Amino acid sequence: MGWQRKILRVNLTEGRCTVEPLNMDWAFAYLGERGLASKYLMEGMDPKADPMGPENLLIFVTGPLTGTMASTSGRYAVVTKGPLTGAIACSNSGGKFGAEFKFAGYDLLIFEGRAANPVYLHLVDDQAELLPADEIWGSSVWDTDAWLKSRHQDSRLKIAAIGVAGERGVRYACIVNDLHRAAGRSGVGAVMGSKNLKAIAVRGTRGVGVKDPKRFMQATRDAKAALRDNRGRQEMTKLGTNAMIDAMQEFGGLPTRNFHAVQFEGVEKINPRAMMRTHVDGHRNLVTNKACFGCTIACGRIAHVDPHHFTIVNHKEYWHASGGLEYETAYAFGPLVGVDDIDALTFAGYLMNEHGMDPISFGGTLAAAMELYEMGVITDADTDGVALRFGNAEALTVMAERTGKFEGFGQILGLGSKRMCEKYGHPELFMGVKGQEFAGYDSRALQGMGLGYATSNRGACHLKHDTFAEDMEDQSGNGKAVPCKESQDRTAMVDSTGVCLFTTSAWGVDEFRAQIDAACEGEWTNERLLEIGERIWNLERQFNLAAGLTAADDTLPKRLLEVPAPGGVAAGKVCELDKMLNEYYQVRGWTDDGRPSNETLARLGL
Amino acid sequence: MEKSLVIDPAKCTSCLQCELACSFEHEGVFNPARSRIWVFELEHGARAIPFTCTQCAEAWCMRACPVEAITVNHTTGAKEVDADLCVGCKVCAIACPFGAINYDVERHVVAKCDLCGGDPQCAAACPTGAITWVDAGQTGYERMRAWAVGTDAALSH
Amino acid sequence: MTATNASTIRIQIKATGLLADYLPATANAGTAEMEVPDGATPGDVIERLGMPGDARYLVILNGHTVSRDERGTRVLQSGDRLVLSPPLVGG
Repeated sequence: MGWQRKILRVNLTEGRCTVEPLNMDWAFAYLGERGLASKYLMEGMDPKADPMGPENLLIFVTGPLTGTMASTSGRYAVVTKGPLTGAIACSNSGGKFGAEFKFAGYDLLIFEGRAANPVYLHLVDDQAELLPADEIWGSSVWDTDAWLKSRHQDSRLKIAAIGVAGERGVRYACIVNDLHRAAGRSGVGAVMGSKNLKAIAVRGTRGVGVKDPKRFMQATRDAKAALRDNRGRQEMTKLGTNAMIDAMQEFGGLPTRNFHAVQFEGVEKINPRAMMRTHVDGHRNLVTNKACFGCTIACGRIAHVDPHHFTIVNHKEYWHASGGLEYETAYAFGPLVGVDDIDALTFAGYLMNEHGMDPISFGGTLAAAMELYEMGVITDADTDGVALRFGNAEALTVMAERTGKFEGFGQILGLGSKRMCEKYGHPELFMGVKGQEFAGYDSRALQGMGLGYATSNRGACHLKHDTFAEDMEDQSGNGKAVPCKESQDRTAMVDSTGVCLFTTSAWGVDEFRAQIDAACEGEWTNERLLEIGERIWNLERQFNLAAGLTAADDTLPKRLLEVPAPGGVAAGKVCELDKMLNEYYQVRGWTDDGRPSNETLARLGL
Repeated sequence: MEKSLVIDPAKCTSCLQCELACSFEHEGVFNPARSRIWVFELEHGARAIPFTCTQCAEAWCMRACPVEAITVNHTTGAKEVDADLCVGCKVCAIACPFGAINYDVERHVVAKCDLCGGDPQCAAACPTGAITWVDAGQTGYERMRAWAVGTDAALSH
Repeated sequence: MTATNASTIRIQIKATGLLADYLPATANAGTAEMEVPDGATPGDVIERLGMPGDARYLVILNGHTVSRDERGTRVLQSGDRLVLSPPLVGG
């Protein structure tokens, strides 16, 4: 109940699929999704293994609530060792794919080894087959999706796939499902490509049950009512997550031109108001909003690029609507690279979904390349003749396509910002942590965010903690360690349930507990759930330490530690990471060099 | 009062809570594959349209059934399948022009929307009002209202 | 008492997200000029505009955040720029 109690293990080297029972001890200790797969990863591979080698495991995993009537029950995660970071990678996605393989009867799909030739997995309930992918190797995600549905005469297949970027090892290549949702970060798509696995096409007719249906329906109904009445949720429904851009602009935490500035003069051209503006010729960027499986928020956007825009005026194949701007894409393709052309941003977003790349990391890499170009370190001779100046919309869209297809300078951009900056002798221009590029928040303005970025187990990430309220209230490093640690544990728990993090706009631990307790065997308390979160966090830390990361990697670039914010509410401030980090290790029950103490490990059963 | 489901695709976000609610109500599990209402996505997800049985007054399925397993519920107006009488011949599925009645491979009988006996769960579950449950004689009322507003120059701006 | 109006001051107010819906009809791109009573606080403005009371609003006055404690006590001055943002979940 809740869980399907079944996993599919796919040995790509031998071309064999086997069904195994789910390890229920692990399910009870780690819950599901992020936590459960991290345990399988830790027990199933050597953390020192090459992320692009056959020893890396690639795990697709759902939570016990995935596929139920709980709101936002469409979530699944991809867990592996990340090629971008060399650390544990847990990339979360929505859409319909995760629920579908849960309905097929599986909690996890584990891919091991490497196929000798390109293959895809076709999975319909009990029937699992690895089939040749020669005809789609070299195709985009969107072409692959169409080909598979046609090949199997089944328009109801749900598909997760990589594009050429993943095939060719772009370090931040992602896995796209349902055309415009993605397990986006840390290069999980490159792992899939390294295994010669092109796609997973799944259909499920089995259904998901719960322990106490009547109580479950009451709990989910109450939780949905809380979500319905919540104003933060209403913002996401009506405006999408890009509503954040106006708040960050006013606050002065909006990273601009590779973190040279914290406010961007072009915000009014790319914010939600701009997305909803109707032009004289009737064109409007925003078409409608859209939900993932089970979701009553519907933060997703569907957009239209202006057909007269230079990017698509001669490309009819892009005149259709597709996934529109959410905050991180708007930030990474807007202020971070200085571009204020909403159609260029939207089109570049399409390309991310079509070719399978993380917009945050692509934008971060392009921003660093622009800085190198403006410094004269690289020139037109390096960049295929394209002027990589901040603000050049054509640079954004041309390079997005080049990188997606792994052509020309796109092959350099495909290294990711850290490796590219090192290649050109300017490692200080990489703006991220542990090899992963920052999200749209400048931690000179949001101090707790800085601590979260520095300590997130998957590299710079804005989603693994939540110190928003504290950061808005107090722009010093004081009092950030405890809320950072507590929210990290809570978020690790939420990431393991199968529902979406955005429910935390309205739900506290009580709401999660009520739904989990009605769905899953056993007795679930708030304490038990939060302890699971803490256990997951420490397990991920253990994986990273075994992989060779140390406390020295819990740091931020000099630009944030030494160069004061030039404006905004935190004008003149740097990120006070040192002050926060020591306190954080103590609060965590870790040693001074960032290792979980024996006492902490014993308490958590690690 | 006889009531009817009204579907407004413009409000549909493709969340599929309706499919979950339907399968849960009828089968006791969450299983969209066994829902009697389905959402169809077009244009890269730009449009989503829920669709189900329209409860025809002179129903093809009812007329086609050789064992009279499909009858009218006179309270709700729904055409309901009696699973005990149904032999699973599927002629009704062939006859229905809308594809709204389908064979249930687990029960070996056909299944269709029965309006949940007068309290349709899809409408109850829909978070956006894309599916509503209204007077069967006025299903176009709100759509007409939208156009009426458009005719008044003072109101439409 | 004299018959003159109580004195007012003129401030600029910017509201982001759905809070912009609460601004006067004269607002443009989420920004409006407003007359408020002399001595008004950010809390008074929030109430005056009919915005739902919510301690988690981000309040910025002339480029500096106003902590929750001060919203009911900080007195606005003529020409001030007040920014109000709703609580948001990052994404």
